Amino acid sequence: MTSPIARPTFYEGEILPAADLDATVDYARNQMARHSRYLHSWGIATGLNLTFASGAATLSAGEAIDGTGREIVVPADVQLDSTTFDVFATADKDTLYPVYLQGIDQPAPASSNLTGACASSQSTSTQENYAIAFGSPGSELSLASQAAPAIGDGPDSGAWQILVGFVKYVSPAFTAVATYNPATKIGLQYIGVNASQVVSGSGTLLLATHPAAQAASGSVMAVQLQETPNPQLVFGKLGTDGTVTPALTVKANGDLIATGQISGASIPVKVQAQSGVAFDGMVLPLPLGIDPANSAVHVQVSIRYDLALSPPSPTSIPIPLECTVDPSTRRVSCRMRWFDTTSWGAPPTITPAACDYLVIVAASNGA
Amino acid sequence: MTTPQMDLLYFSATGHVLAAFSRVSEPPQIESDASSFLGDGFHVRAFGDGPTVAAFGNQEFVIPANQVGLLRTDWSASQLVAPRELQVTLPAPGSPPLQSLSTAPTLGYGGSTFTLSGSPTQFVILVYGPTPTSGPAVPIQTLQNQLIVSGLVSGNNYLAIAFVPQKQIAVASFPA
Repeated sequence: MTSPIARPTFYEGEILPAADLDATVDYARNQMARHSRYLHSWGIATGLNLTFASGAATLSAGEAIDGTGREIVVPADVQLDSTTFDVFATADKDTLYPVYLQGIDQPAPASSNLTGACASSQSTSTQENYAIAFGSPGSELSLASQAAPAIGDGPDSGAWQILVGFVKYVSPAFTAVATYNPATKIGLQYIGVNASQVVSGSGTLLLATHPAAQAASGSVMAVQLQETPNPQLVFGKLGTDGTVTPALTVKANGDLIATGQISGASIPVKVQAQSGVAFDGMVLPLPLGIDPANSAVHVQVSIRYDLALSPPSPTSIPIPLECTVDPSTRRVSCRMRWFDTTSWGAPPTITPAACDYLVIVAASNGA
Repeated sequence: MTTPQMDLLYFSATGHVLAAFSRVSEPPQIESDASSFLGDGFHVRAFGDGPTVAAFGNQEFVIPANQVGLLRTDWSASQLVAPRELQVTLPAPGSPPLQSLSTAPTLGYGGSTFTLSGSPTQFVILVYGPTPTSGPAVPIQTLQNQLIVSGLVSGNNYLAIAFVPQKQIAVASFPA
């Protein structure tokens, strides 16, 4: 059975060995690592942008949290050393090679002012350093299968790789960088949050793909929940001022407002209807704004009996002859036969007639 | 509450109403032309099968789309089902917008000349044939008091439709 987590405590007169003092530091560090490991997903927290200029690839300063919960800090911009790329002596000029960042513990240089019992100087701190390594093409596919430490363990050193980008290489220098490999469909991973609840105390909650400061490109998307001025959920583009331009809004009462079109495999973009009375020989009206070329038109017609119909003679009675619509032209064919009840043998009089119609249009995109 | 309305398709030379229709969702402004409701033109049929118009009700007489106007007016149940008894007051919209028509005159043909009962001083006759898809045999005429048709092919059967002001539409089927 694994030992429980121990929190160092002390008592008056205790002799403090170095291990006890180390434990006070490790306790807090391990606790923070577990927090980072289990309440967040690993990845880049800020910075660490890989850029290429003047024939050199540079990784900007930044911070990442690895899968062991370890904080990796790159305190200043660092230029990638192409001489360490020689392991890929046969590098293909079009191949993307992953660049990994790893956190590494290194003893700080020994202090010259402190001496041990035997006058031997020792290091009194550990540098939380980093290393940059190049991987073989496609090795980024195994990033997701890196093994996390045991539940109670603290952060590890050098055991976890964080992808910060890709380089192309033509000996003896890098020629380009990238943040995404279309061949493997792997790109950079940024830190996330593992939570079953995210609750804001401000009355508004924003989820965005990038900070508002980067919204000048016009492609930063956001979802915002807000209570005032109108309780609603808004999806749209994020502005540099932090506001979201609505593309889709869901009001508190359930109203859905979309500025674009709604499409889907089984749901038509638009279903609209028109109805009324039409006359023989004309083309049935469509719902307003519908292009029949991109629509499926459904029509129902029935001949219209009306007390206002005037018979050819006072003794005539009407019987429908036809009431149809040409499916290709929507032209109405609607005629009535009038039989004279005083002369059943006589041929009926045929007159054009009106019909009640219902047109339902399922319009596809752009109609 | 908005007054219910209906729309009329009418022969633009004389104002004779060809069809009436209504829409539950009427656009705020009526369409600028009637083409949406015409297709290749307005198909006229079924003026009644009788001694002078044998079998005419089964044939389609196409009035060219550019000769059909569109007008919106107040909804009327009786006008909606019997539009051929109406004439639009020209120029549309006039006042009153619609006039009722009296019984159609009899349209006859003989010796390359059309005749109309009552000897109207003004009328328009459209001639169509010999097949419904061949188009008018003579150009659309302006209002005049006599129409002599030329160019008809002997032996072919033609359809004719006459628009006389204040009278219902008259039709005839005749061999040239």
